[in-house]
Amino acid sequence: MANAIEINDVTMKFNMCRERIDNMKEYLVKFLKKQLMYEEFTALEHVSVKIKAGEVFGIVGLNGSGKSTLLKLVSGILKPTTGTVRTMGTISPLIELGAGFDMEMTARENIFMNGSVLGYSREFMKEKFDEIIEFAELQDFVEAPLKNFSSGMVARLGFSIATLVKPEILIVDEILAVGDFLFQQKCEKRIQEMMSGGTTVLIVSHSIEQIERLCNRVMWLEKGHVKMIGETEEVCVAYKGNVR
Amino acid sequence: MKIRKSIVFIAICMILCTVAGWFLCENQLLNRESEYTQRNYSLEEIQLLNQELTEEGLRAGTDPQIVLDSVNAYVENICLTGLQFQEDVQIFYTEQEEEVFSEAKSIVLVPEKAKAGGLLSLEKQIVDLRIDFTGAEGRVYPLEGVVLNPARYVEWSVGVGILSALAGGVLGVCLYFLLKEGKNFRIYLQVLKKYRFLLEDMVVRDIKLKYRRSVIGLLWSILNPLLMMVVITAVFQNLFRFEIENFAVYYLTGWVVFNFITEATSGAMTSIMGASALIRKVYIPKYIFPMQKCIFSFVNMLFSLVALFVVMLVLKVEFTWNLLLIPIPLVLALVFSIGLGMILSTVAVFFRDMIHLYGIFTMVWMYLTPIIYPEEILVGAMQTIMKMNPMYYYVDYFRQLTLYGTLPGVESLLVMCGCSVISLLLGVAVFKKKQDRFILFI
Repeated sequence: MANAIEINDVTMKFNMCRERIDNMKEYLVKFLKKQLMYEEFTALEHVSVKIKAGEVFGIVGLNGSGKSTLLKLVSGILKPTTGTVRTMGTISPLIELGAGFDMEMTARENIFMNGSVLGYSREFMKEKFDEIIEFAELQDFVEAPLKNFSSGMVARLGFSIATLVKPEILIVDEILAVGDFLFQQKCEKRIQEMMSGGTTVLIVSHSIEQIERLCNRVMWLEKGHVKMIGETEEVCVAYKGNVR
Repeated sequence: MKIRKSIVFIAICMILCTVAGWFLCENQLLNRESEYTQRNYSLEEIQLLNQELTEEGLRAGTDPQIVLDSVNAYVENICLTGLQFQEDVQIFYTEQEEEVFSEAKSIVLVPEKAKAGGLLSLEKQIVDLRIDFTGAEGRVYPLEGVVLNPARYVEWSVGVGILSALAGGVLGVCLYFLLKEGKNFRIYLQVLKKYRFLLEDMVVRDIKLKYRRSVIGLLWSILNPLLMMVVITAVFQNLFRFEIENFAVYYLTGWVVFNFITEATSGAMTSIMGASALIRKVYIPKYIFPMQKCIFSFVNMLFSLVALFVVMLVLKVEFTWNLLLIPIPLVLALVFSIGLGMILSTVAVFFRDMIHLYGIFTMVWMYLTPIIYPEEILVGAMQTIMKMNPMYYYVDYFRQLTLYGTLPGVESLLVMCGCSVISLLLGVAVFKKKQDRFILFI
């Protein structure tokens, strides 16, 4: 089967200012002395992985191991410092739910806004509007400004918009922890529906149980390096063994 | 050592342009901008001119050839200094003809003739010759450049060299970008089409947010220029007394265009930083943000057009069919702002000081553009600077269509199109090159 995601030898570096340079003179002096260096932080180093279409691929690792950076690279938010990332098909990133929500605007306005952020047309959103509201269980709050919503409500709204269409690649970052357990079940069910429909899924989670339940293959990242890629069971056992 | 292809290409363009500039200058193909200026001749000046001429020996009985040469030389000088109205410079002379003195004739100096080469052809002996400038007293002369003196051509200098090299660089960047990215043009359009709803939504949101909780809301967009106009008109008409007909409309037409461009570009400049939350979270083509701010300002400007039309109606400015053409300068100005806005937003991400610098720059820009003063008061070098200011063309074109109801020439239309296209291409090229690094700096 074709590869849905190809990550070739990707290295991602970030700049961290070592010291504050807050005036022009200092800047010039440093510039002339060529000391204007940033401390580089390497979030990912020489990561290569190929994910086949239809696969459910999990990424595990401790905090700061570069999981989220990898997801951002795949979704196109970040561009790698070196190496290439290639994806085939439409991507629905569930990295941050409700990106671009404006707290001052009502749920209705936000749904349309968020839809256009994700690149959906207005007619399409009108069609799907009721479905979104229904799934998010927010029928009573359509005209309320978002600032009056609870965080769970906002997350629910975000999730229902993001999973509106069946994308070819779904990227899920820790978001299954939103809402109450009923809603979590609902989310999981929806994701499973997508998986059975042939969507490639990329999941990051700290919940090993969830990974074990959903994934075909798992990658274990540690401090930006690939520690292990393999079958779910194998990697999860090794990961759990190592962490403890 | 690896040399970038793009840099070589741009360098070649710069060199070619510099050589072309040199070639044009050497062959005197570049006409200098005609210096359109005015001055008053005082009585003293006129007397001085008369006196100088007599001192040079132009008296009765002089050899016709000498008279001819001196007069021609003098006329060149006069034309360059600017006396041009026919009745103001008159040469009276009498020819000796078969012992009969004919009546004093007057030769009228026409600069066109001077241009053609032959000014006067005196065949007979001159008996009496007098050049009279008295008609010139107190008159205001619009001086139009007369091509008599080689200095009228642009001379090759370091400054011209640098300018043409710069122009070459800009052209090179644009060309390189077009060659490299031209084939992807369709894809870009598709992406833009996909995200047009986002663009619309964001513009609508901006408008909603701008006037939220203000009592009269959107009316401010109309009221604001009106009040500004009242203040400026009150100050400038009473304080400086420029001789501008309909100063209120003159100011408002300039202000509408100028304010649109500066508001759009400074909004676009901070747009990337303002949208950092969104850029960090989802993938959106980033050019949407500067574009959104420009379109937002454009919509705002459309509201202030209402104010302009009201004022025109009240002050009884004639409405002509040319008014229907105002979308031309406005849309071109929008394209120009998007390009400039993209450049500024890129620079501002890496160099925050740009935000403050641009504030100062817009102020300078305002005084370099004839908005609160008539353009005639700019002379010499200032005139040249004005002609190099793209803003001037948009303002002037718009003003011609609205205030004067005339249709400006094709030349200014071409200049506007050129500015817009170059600005857009340059903006897109710069933006595209740097956009992947934005996220590391916001």
